[in-house]
Amino acid sequence: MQSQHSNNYEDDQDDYGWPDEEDKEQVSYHHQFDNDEKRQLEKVQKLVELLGCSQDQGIAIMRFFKWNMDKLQNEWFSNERRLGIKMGIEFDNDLSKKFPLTMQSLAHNNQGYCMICYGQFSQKNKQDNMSCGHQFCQEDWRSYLSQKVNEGFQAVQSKCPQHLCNMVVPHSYFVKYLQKEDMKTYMKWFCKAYTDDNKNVRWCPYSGCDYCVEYQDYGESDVSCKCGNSFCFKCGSESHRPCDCKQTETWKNKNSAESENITWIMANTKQCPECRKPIEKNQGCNHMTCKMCSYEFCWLCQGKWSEHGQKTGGYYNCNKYEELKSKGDVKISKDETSRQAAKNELDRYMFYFERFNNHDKAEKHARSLRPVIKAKIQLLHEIKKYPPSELDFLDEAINEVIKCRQVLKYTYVYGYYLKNQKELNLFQFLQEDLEKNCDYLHELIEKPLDPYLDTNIVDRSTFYHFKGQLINYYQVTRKVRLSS
Amino acid sequence: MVDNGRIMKELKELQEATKNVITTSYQQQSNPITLQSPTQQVQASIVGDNLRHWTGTIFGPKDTCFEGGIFKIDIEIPGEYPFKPPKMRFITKIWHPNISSQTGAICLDILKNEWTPALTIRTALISLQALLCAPEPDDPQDAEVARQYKSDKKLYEYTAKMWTENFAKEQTVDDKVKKLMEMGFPEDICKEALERYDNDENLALNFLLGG
Ligand SMILES: [Zn+2]
Ligand SMILES: [Zn+2]
Ligand SMILES: [Zn+2]
Repeated sequence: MQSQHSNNYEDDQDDYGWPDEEDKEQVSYHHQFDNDEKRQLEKVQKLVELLGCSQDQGIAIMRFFKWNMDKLQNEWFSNERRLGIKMGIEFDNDLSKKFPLTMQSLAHNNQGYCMICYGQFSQKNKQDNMSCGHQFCQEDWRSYLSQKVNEGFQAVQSKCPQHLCNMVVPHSYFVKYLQKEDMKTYMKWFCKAYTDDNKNVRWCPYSGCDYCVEYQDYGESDVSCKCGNSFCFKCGSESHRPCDCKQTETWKNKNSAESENITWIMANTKQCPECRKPIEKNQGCNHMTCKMCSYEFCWLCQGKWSEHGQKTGGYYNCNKYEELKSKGDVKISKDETSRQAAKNELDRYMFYFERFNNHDKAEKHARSLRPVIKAKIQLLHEIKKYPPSELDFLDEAINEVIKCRQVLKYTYVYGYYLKNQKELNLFQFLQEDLEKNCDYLHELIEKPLDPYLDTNIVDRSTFYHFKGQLINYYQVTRKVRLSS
Repeated sequence: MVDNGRIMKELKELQEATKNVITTSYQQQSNPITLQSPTQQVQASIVGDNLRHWTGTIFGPKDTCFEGGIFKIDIEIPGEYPFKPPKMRFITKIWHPNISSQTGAICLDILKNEWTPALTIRTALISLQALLCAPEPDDPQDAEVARQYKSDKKLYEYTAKMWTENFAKEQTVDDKVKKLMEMGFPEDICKEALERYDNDENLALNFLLGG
């Protein structure tokens, strides 16, 4: 597995105190608003050396190929000119001829004039032109690019201001002409052009997180974001081990789709034999009255209720169903069998869903605890003078709980889809082990930390005992979690 | 931002073009063979003393349903001009798939996302003229006209010509007299009223009605 790592981010990572086994798979992070021009330009530089082109051209080529070097090497050399026109680094003569009107422009008749303000070029009003030769004064370049940048992300694709000129405005022009806020905005778009298109970069799916992760090999693997959350690099959603992406998606669809309602209706209701409206059975009695049409019938045989009586074995003990069944009425028994199967399926689904949901809630709860813990760490440091390095375990513990809950959540999805009984038994054993330890850990970390903040208590042994316990548990859960 | 300097220059350029039209129209009468087609020309002038509000004029191109018509365009120049396109709208009613028959709104790429600051009001007006020659019914502004254009081209051409006749042509004095006479006024009185109001049809009619 090849991965990318830059030095300035390595330092940050240590500060954060959140290295974990998963982080050994080296990844790098970009902040949404980081001025990480450098990273992009390093990649571009390699291309510049390879092709002997300019940096501006290199950026345009890289963007065109979505930063995929393999694709670039396969396609670029055989099609240089055609692609050059397409990506706006080679002037398209044919296109510019399509609209001869531009040639009739006032400024064109008077060489030495800016084609935007119609002012004459001079020492004060300097001109600047891209390789297409269309000339504009510097002030208008600034206005033009400023306006483009404020219109949005598309600014990075801005063309020469001349009508029907295909040449793309080079990065260096933006850098040269934009000032302050405009430049900041441009850099945002510049970074976005890299991160959005690059298959090796993914945005963290957690709300409130502005980081994205760059990762060289996108197999089915989890990556940890700088914000402390981990997500699946392949599908971009929250970590879903031990499930694969497809299972996860199926499960999510199952949860949200209407199909479950249909299953539920099938298991719990029948149609009124008279008006065909669904009827729900919520009591043991077989005497049904349709709320819509007031038709009375028997739940089991769907026969008219008035025909029931002593003959059929009593109102509350319909034997007609049994009778028909014994006679081998295929239709009814088939209906009933599929209804029963659907009911069993629903029970099974509900069993797994409830547990999935339970861990999901616990995970959310643990997440909400994270800022509380952070504040407590600060207080323990300030009031009781514990060095930060001695308090890291709290942060690690809460993050471990979150990760455990996440894994546990998806073990129920995995279990739901696991059909092999032998495998399921082993799996359930591991699941139970993790669940038990995670519960202990969660309980411990939820306990108020206030007693350890009491300035009257000088003895620190209870705190260290607590710390030992926590570390012990999260080492256990981590081991179990990573083995599953 | 570009100040009014560019707008002044554009106006001057257009007015020079207008002068040319006048001379060519003059030539047209004396020497029809050397005719430099005036339909190639467009004109514009400012409305009142607002430098950012213009009225453009384009002549209906030859061999189209708009031939002989004179179309007035309302032009508003935004503060960000020329980095943002001018806002243009037909004042003269016109039957064309890319122009609203109700509001005169125009669907033309260079007046929207294809606008570049190197384009001018004049080039935009010339593009509009080109649009009259080559309607694009697949990118319509007026769905009804576009539908007619595609399903019944003959009817479309008839309607477009009728609209040009009715809305885009300067009427001769005789036409005006005839119109007033149709309302039941005697010929000599109609002529008199028109003469009195400098051939303004509406004022003449007002006068006739008011007694
Ligand atoms: Zn150009
Ligand atoms: Zn994140
Ligand atoms: Zn995934």
